[in-house]
Amino acid sequence: MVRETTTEVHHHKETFLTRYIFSMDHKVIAIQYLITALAMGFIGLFLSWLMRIQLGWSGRQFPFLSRLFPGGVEEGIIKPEFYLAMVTMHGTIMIFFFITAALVGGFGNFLIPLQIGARDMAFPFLNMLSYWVFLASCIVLVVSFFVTGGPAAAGWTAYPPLSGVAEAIPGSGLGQTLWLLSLALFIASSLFGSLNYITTTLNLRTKGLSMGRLPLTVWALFITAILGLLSFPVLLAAAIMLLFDRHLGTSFFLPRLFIAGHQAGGEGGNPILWQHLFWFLGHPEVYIAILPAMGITSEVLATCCRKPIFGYKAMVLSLLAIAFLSFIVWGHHMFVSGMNPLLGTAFMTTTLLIAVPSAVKTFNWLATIWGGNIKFTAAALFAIGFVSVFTTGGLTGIFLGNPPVDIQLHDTYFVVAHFHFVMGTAAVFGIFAGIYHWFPKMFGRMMNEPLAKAHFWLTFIGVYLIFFPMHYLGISGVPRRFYDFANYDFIPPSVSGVNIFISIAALIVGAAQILFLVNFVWSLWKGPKAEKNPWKATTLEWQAESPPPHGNWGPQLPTVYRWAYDYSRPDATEDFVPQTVPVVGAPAGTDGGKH
Amino acid sequence: MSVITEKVRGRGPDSDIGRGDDGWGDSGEWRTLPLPTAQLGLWLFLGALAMFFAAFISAYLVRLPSPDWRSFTKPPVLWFNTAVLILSSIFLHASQIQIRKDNHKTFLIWLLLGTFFGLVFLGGQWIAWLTLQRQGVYLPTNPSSSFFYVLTGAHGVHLLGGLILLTLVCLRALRGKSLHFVASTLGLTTTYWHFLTVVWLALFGVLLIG
Ligand code: HEM
Ligand SMILES: [Cu+2]
Repeated sequence: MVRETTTEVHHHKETFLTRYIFSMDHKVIAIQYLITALAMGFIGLFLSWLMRIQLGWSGRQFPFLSRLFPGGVEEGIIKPEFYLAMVTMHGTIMIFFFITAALVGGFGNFLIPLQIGARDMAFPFLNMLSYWVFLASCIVLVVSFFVTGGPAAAGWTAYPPLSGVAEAIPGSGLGQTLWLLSLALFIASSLFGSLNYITTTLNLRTKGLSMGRLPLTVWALFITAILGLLSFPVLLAAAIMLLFDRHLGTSFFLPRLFIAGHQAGGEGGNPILWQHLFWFLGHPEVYIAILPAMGITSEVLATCCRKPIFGYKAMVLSLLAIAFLSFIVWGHHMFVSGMNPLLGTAFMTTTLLIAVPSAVKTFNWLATIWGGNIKFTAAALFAIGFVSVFTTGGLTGIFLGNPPVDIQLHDTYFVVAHFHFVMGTAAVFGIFAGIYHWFPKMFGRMMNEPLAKAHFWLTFIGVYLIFFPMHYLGISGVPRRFYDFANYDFIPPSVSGVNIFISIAALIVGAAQILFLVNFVWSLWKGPKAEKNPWKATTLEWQAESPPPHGNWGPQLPTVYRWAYDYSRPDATEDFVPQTVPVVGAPAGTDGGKH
Repeated sequence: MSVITEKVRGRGPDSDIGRGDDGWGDSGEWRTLPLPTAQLGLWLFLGALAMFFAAFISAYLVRLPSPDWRSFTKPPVLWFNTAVLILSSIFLHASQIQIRKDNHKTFLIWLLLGTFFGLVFLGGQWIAWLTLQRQGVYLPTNPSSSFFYVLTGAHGVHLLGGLILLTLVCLRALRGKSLHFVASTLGLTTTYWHFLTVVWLALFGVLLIG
């Protein structure tokens, strides 16, 4: 197939507004996404601090809190309904607005065109729209903190009837409506993004870049986009029905309810139906967050261990397998919903099957590290940390995938521990690995390595101190989404010591993120200038300038001659061979004379 | 042939375990899809839309057997609307065939007819809603009616989008824009339109059983 490889480099006039604000350049959009997502992440982190303060020292007065949230805090003590609102907003912000937005919107936008040798996305205007709709969804969500009743409080899963009846809890009023609107906007923005990522990956690869030569980051982002494309619309449909239930008197989900003696809600609605629809998105969503982090990990590990990624083909196939399976496991969130045990067994089987491709990936990462000439950059540390926390969280997933075990552990802190490892910290480690690795390409400057390493060690040790003890809390029966653990017969009093310990660790880890923030902001202006290829990596983006200009490449698009992982070839003088270096003896950029 | 290239690429004695540089990973075959970018984007969008409607339909099927479900007679005008929508799809298809043959006149007639029939369909759906209201069947009356309004509404909104696109295509064609330009937009819009016709048939089918 012949295609034009030289295109005119555009030199249309750019003002500050079109260049940095209403930009259609994928790199600017990526940075907009990344920074917005990080800002949301800090809000989510701040909320986790407040929750930990409550759980560690419940009953103690913190007057400064009253000043911050006059509606949610009374005389320095967080109100129970405000605690629930914080859990909800923390979960929602972290999952959708931080990790998904940073990994998919941030790295997806930055890496796909650069790593496939394209000048931009297939639909740049849609791409810009995607960011602005995302920003609107963030604003709607944040605004909900300031409406009467406060933000939504029905959990990030928004189960009706709590989310369906305005008088159920203060946050079920306007707050919940805004939550649903915000999510609808987020879904639209994600749809625009997915259309771009898939089309761009399929149609805009540069000459010589077959699918089998794609870096694993692109594979991961591509598959993630397919997941999002097919799962988010289902949540949109559900959100529309829930809005109708809330405001137009229908009863899709709302059963007949009595609140304080008078009837609220609908007729014979089916709340379980919401759970099915929600988790049909909800489970793929956790893979939407984790697959790109897996791609980043693979990429960073190969670069930093100076070794080809172990089992490239198996890596791609396992990504595909995970993506496929993720659509048929959602029922594992609903083992205790009165589900037919036979159906539960089916969901158990599919769930446990996911362990196979996940284990394949973990094995391959370890094999990549094994015997490597490891350069312990901050990015490498976070990538290795990813493997660690992902494995820790993945193992408890096998416990929870078994209905008899899950019936015990459901809605306890065991689950909180599980998902914070396997999805929460794992995705965040992926984000940090990605930022430390690609910051030079994004901004043309290096970050400070010692500071980054301090950030890693504090965070890595810290998250184990926070989340590992939660397994024991869960096993001893401590339920999640509880405001206070005193005065329950079934909760042993020893729990409070553990909680104080966790809370202290959480405060320290939260504070450690300031190291990252300082490093990020300082390096933007003061970091040493980055060269083109500071990590001596093979993929295409390192052949572009740092940062790449508008249009990414000079007049000529790069041509690819080899796969993405030619590290430490015995026949090469350097320990890496970029994808653009022709293979001696094979005709340039062709299919090697096959046709 | 390929064996030689593999050798050249270093698959020989020096290849160690884990070097995935084999025929699959590095055959060097480089293909983009035969679909143009805009069309690919549209098909992906239709995939997402299909999931959107599938979610509604499955919710409907789950809710259908519950004891509070009361059936109501569907307005007969729906049959007429269905026929009209199918015809409009056929007309648009005909118009596409004519544009490929460069028949400017006939192409325009079919296009206008197709667009007009689309409008008639939407009007007919409106009449169906009015009929229901006159029978006292409103959105919150019963889950059966809630689903009826929401499903037809969701479909109608998407159809309205298609109608706006078609109108734009008509205007362009009437203003004598180049046929080639019109053809590409018409092609995309028609694909979308056919998709909505198929969705309507599915929706109508499930609505009839409730
Ligand atoms: C140091 C960082 C973090 C701390 C200290 C923390 C702490 C907490 C706490 C205390 C809860 C509430 C538990 C309960 O009462 O049930 C919670 C819930 C949650 N967290 Fe985190 N978290 C952190 C990071 C993250 C990250 C990065 C994610 C990203 C996915 C995340 C996702 C969630 C979710 C989804 C929930 C459940 C919300 C719900 O129940 O609706 N967290 N977290
Ligand atoms: Cu799940």
